Amino acid sequence: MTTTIRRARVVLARACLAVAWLAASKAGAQTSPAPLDSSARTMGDLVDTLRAAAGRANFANQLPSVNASLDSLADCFSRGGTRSLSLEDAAGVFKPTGATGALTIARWYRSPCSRATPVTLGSALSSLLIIANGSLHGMMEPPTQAWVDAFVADMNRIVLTNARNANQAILAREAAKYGPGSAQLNVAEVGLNYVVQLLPGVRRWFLPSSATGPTPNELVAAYRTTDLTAAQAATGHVTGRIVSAAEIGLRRYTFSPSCGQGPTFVRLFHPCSWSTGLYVMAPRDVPLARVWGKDVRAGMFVALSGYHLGCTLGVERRCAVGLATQVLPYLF
Amino acid sequence: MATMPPQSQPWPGNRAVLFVHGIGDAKPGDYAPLMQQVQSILGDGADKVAFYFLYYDQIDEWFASKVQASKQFALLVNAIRSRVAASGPSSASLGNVIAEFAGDVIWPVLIPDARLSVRAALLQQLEQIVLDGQAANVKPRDQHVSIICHSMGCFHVYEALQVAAADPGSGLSPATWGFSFDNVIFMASPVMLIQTAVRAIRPAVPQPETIACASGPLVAPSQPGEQGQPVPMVKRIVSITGNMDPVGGYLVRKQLPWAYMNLPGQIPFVDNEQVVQVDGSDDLSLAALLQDAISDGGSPKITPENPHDWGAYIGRHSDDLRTWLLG
Repeated sequence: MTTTIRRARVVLARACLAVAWLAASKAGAQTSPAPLDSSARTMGDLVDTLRAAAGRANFANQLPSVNASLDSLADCFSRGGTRSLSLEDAAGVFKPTGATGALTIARWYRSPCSRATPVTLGSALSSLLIIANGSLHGMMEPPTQAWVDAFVADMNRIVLTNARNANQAILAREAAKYGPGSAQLNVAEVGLNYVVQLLPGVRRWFLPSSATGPTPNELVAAYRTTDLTAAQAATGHVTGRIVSAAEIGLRRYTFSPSCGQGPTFVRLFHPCSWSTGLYVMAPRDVPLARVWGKDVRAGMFVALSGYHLGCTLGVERRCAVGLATQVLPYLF
Repeated sequence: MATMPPQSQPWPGNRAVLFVHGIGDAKPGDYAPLMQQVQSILGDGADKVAFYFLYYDQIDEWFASKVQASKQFALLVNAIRSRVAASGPSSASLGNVIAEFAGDVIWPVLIPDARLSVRAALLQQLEQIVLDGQAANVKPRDQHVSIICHSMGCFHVYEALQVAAADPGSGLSPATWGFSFDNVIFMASPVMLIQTAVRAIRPAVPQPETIACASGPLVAPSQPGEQGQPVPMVKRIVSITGNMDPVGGYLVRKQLPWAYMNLPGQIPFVDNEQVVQVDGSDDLSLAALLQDAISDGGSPKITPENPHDWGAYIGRHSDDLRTWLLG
């Protein structure tokens, strides 16, 4: 019973589609495309123009499979409400970051032809443009061809601008992570950040994306021998001391366009990167000491830009501050 | 301020040419003599062409600085030099060259961000070129855009075009937007050499699937059309190399199948080149040849003796270039 009703619906829909197609073909044969200077051109205008041109060129007999694709796309656009999609909105669907508007998706969501994702909508729009630029293009009459070319060129201009801006954004983020002023890596960090890009399961957190550029994540593995702490001496006075410490953790880049600018105080609280993780202090408050093995003091650190604060827990609680500046290049 | 903003200019006609250099340390303006050479070849026709040049060595410098690699590679060079020197008095310079070549190629192969950065710089430049053409009221379908690349620049061009062709969001895919390049002229392309190298060390290459040349056989960039047929992104692909140019896949007049780029449908040229002896030594000749071959950056030295010299390639094909770029 259900199957019968479904078949009846399909037959009815096809009948409606055939009537609509005939009407569109006749309309297309008698009318010119929408004016070139129309600022409110929609995908429906393009669909109608292409179908009318196809009708005049007897496209169904010459390339039946492509003509069927055009009909199918027209049906999907019509039933999904996507006909009203403006040229500008349609161009926005191709944004590399996939930032398609909710309204656009909502329109497509009603379509019975495809799932509502930017990819499927972009694919449908691209398919329509491929037909516009394909065999049918050479069969169009000059005014129709000029209208279609202008439509495609105007849409292309928006897509090119978005793509150029997206690539510019990628470069800006890459520069923030790797360019001048970014944190330099020591040998251990170079190795770690290389190896982690090869490890299944975790590498996706450390690999760049072709749409958005670099990952904000970077592993930290640093040995610091110039951190400054304060401790009470045997005489009872509080004195500053240089200590050795190690940091193992994660650095995150903010990729904020305005980060790292202004005076030191401002830069500190609007950093281009921050990091946190395990902080290990040597057993005694001396420089160039070991930070592994027995009696080491462990805690956590937080770093903003090039400044870090590390605190150890346990019996002897202690905090130390320091800079990310490497005393010995490549090493620490 | 934008990071490495693309070059933009008004078009004097409906044609544009983009130059993409190879490895080295070229700064903006370094290749001005080479561009003047091409303008001279085109004669009056050059007045109707918008010339663009992509300088991207700044990106390589980011990565060298980030990992503090300059001195590390110097150490590597010294290590290789000392080891190779033990095998012969003139072999040290050859070892030096090999190490430097490794240093220049390592970024795009082993660091995914490096190749993504150069690709982004190249794509944004191509997109700006088409936008400049549109600003001059030349529709993408009517634009005549060509690319001339050399050495490592050919690798970046190959990679960028493969991505752009397949992605309608780039605004450059041929079937979707009806745009195609008139010419892409590869000069001494190491694309096949890099494919071989990447495949040999694939487990050690992060995100190898994003290296188009290593993900399958070399193909001309295209996008499936209305019936699934490939719609080419480039009307004419030309591959020029010299029979003494190791980067282009030849070593002492012998083609190296694992290093010579052979794209389906390409128009191949193999120039007959001569090697001059250095101080009467064949070993030194080969070392000097390789040194010149990989060090095309900085102020270009237009010397016919250098088998990898970009200017020499252009000079030998001046008539062809006039036909291709203005035809």
